[in-house]
Amino acid sequence: MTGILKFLLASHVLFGLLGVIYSYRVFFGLLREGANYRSLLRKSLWAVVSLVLSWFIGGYYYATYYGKAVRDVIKAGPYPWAHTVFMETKEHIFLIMPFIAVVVTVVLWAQGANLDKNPRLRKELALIAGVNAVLGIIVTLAGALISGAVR
Amino acid sequence: MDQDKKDKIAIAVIIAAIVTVIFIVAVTVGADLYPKLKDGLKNTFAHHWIGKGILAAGLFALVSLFMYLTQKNSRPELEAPFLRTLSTIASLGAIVLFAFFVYEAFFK
Repeated sequence: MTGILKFLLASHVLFGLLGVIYSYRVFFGLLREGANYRSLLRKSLWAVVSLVLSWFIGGYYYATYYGKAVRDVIKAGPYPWAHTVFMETKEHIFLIMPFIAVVVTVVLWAQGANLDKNPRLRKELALIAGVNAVLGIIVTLAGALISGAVR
Repeated sequence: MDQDKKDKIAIAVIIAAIVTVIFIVAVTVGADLYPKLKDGLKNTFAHHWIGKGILAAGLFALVSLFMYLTQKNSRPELEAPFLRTLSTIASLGAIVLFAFFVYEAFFK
């Protein structure tokens, strides 16, 4: 793997983790009334940016290197199912996450402090932000497992 | 921007996200079950995963716009139930994807 590809892989992981962390912080922030909704909106926007960057970088790495160099190694090794189950699940769950992050951002922008008057909406927004954080954790763990399968 | 427009935009993107998640799961399962679909995505977009991403983004944008333009009156009371639907669909979608790929790895 060239230096650039290593950098891209590390960037993909870093931005993905940032997306998860920001999603989690939005989830946690929405659990209580009187939150700083402007701050949560900023965090949510950073979640979108991070996830989209991770998307593009990971997509480039996947299309130009993983398919040729890594997938075949895993499939020829003792854990061929690691690619089929975990990489395929990870890459397709990851397609879903940015859209959820956009929804959270738009609803925070549209409602802001109105969320204090609407506890049900605030809780549902927290739930979807939490779902995105959990999906992100699953994707991260799957990525770690695939790295182990390569080694 | 007035609150009415903001509520319409919020409803529009929530519905668009629901449709997009369903699309992603359906096209993922479909492409693996029907190789011609996967080949079509690969030939059009250089890689099937890139194709799914581009189509999903396009669908999300189109449905958002359509839902925004076709709402006569905003219904902010629908945001909470639609968000619950999105949470449910996203969770079920992830489970379906995992189960499908387990099936592909061990039972196909």
